[in-house]
Amino acid sequence: MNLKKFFIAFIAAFVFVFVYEWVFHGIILKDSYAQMSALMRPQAEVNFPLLIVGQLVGAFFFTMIFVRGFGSGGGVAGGFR
Amino acid sequence: MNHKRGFLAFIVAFAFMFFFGFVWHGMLMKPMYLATASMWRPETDFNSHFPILILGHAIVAFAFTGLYVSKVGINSAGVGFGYGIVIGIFACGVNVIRFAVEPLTTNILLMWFAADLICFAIMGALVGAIYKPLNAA
Repeated sequence: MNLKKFFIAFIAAFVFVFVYEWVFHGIILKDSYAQMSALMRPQAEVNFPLLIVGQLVGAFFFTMIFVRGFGSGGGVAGGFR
Repeated sequence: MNHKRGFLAFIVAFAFMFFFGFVWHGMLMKPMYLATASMWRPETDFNSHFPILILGHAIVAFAFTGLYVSKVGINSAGVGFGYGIVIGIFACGVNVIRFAVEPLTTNILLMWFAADLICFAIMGALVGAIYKPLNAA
């Protein structure tokens, strides 16, 4: 395994997840979440460091699964097969 | 790819996941869910969504088995067990994110960690034990 490339891919995946979730959940779905506020922590109680930890874990293992299992290439179709 | 073995592995994974979920969430964790009842669907509402619960299990079991069959593809319960732990940790990351934004209790979070790790590890072992690539079948 190329650890340097793995680390770069992991960081890129994490940054993308962070930005994507911020736009999708924090902006696009904000009104929907506000309508079901009883099911969500109040803004002040949201545990931001833990949110980051969860995204780091997800991005790390997502990258690891790709690196270990998708080495044969083949583009989008190759990844889907 | 051995489709026959892959399909069999998918059915077993789905059945195990469903049974495990029933025991873990429906029995073991029932008091925890009752203590946080305002966060969950009432019983009748839950029952009317039961087909969606089945569909969700089928999707996860299909993706889990499909990923193993196409990307791991080894007839080994041990390898499957390890694969399941990796997927379990991935799922734990999602649980952590949910805990960060939803008013879940710490006990529920810890029980979800244990559930995902145990369930996916055993599912992986089952899939690894059942699936055989064509040249080894």
